[in-house]
Amino acid sequence: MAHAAPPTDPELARHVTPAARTTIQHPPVTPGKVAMWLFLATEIMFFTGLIGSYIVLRAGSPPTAYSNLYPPGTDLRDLQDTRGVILKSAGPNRSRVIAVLRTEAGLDEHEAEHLLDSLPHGVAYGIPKDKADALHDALNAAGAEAEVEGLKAYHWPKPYDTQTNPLSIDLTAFNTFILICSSVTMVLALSAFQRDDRRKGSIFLLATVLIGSTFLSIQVYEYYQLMFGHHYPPGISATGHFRPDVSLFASCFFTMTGFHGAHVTGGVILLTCIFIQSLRGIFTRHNFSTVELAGLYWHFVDLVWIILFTVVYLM
Amino acid sequence: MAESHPPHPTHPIPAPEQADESQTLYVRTDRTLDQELHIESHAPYLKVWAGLAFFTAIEYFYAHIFKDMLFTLILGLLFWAVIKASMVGWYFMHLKFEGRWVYFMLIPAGILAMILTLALVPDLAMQPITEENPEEETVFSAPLEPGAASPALPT
Repeated sequence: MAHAAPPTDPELARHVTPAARTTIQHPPVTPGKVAMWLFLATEIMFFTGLIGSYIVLRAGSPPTAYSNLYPPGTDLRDLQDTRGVILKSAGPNRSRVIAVLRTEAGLDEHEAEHLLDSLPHGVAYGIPKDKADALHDALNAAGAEAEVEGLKAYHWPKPYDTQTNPLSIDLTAFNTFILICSSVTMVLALSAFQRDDRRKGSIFLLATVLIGSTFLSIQVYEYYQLMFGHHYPPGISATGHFRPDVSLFASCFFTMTGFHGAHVTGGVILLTCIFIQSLRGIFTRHNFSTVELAGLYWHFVDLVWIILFTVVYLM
Repeated sequence: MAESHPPHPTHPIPAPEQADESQTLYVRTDRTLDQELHIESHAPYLKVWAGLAFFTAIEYFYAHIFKDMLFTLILGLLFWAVIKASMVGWYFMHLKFEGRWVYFMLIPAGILAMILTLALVPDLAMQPITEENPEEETVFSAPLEPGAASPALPT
C-alpha cells in the first residue's frame, strides 16, 4: 500500500495537502481554488438577480412607455395625431438646410450644426400634421432628405432604433472583442507561468492589464457620450441626455453595466498588483496559483459581459 | 504563443495507467500533476479566441438582420451567447481540466439561479390586464385610433 509523502515546501506554499493530491486525473484541489469558485457561485447569483430584475422590469413595462416622439413615460392618449420630422440626410447644400432649420424649426445655428453632424436625427417632435408637412416640404426643397413620422409606441426601446435607443452597438461589439482579447492574454499568461516562461508570463499579464484598461476607457467614453456628450431626441430623454434618472431603461442600463464595470476595475487593479509581483520572478511552474485564481475571476467577468452585451444591447 | 512552444517537460511522462504501481502515491500524483500542467499550458487558446471573435461577429450580424423579429432574435442571441459563455468556462476557466468537485459548487448555484428566474415567471407572463396593459397590441403606429392606448377594460 503506497503512502502519501509529506508535502514539499512549494506545495505547502500553495496549500496542497497529500489528501488533495490523491485526485489523480485532475489538478489539485487547493483551498484557494475552492474559495474562488465559491465566490464565483455567489457572483452568479448576484448577476442573475440583476438580469432577472431587468427581465421583470422590461416585461412589465407598459406598451406605451416609450415612443419615437415623446419622452419616456409620457401619457400618449391625447397625442396620437401628432407628428415628427426626421432628417435623414442634409444633401448637397448644407447651409440652405441650416437656414431652414433656423427659420422653420426654430433652432439656433449651433443646434442646427450639431444636428446635421449626427444624422439621422429628429428635427421637430409632437407637432400637428400640417406643420410637420410644411417643415418636411421646406427641408426637401433645400435638398435634404426628410420624412414625416407618426407616433409609434413601444414597451421597451428597440436595438438600432435611434429614436428610442441611444446605445451604440457598433462601439460595444468592438469593446466585447477587446474584453475577449484580454481573456486570451490572461490565459496565455497562466500558460506561460505553467511552462516556467516567466518573461512571457509577465508580458501577457501586462497586456491583460492594458487591454482591460482599454475596455474600461471605452466604457467611460460611452458613459460620457450618453450623459453629457450627445444630445438625444425626446424619445430617449426629455432633457436630451441619457442619464440614470431619465427612464427605467436608463437606470437598468447603468446599474447592470456599472456593476460590471466595477468588477472590471477591481480586476484591473488586482492584475496590476500581480503583474508587479511577477516582475520579481515569484511566479514559477511550481507557484502560479495567484495568477490562476485572478484568471478565474477575470474570465468570469468576461463571461458575464458576454451575457450582458446580448441581453442589454442586442435584445 | 502557447501552440508553438516546445513540449514541457522534456523527458517523457508516463500516462497514469502506465505508472509503476510500486511507486508511492506521491510520485504518481506528482507526475499526473505534471501531465495536467502540460495539457493545460498547451490548450488551443488561440483557436478558442478566434472562435469567440467569430461568434461575436455572428451575434452582431444576427442581431442586425433579425432586429424586428423579437422571438427569433431572443432565441438566436441566447443560443450564441450560451455557446460563447461555455467556451470561456470550458477552456479559459479550465472546467475542461478540473475534477468533479467544481460542479458541486456550480450546479447548486446554477439550480438556484434557474429557480430565481423561474420564480419571476408570474411577473413576466401572468400580468393582470390593466389600462396600461392592453393584451392585443404591444406596438402601434400612427394614426392611432382614438383611445387605442386605453382600450375598453373587460366588463
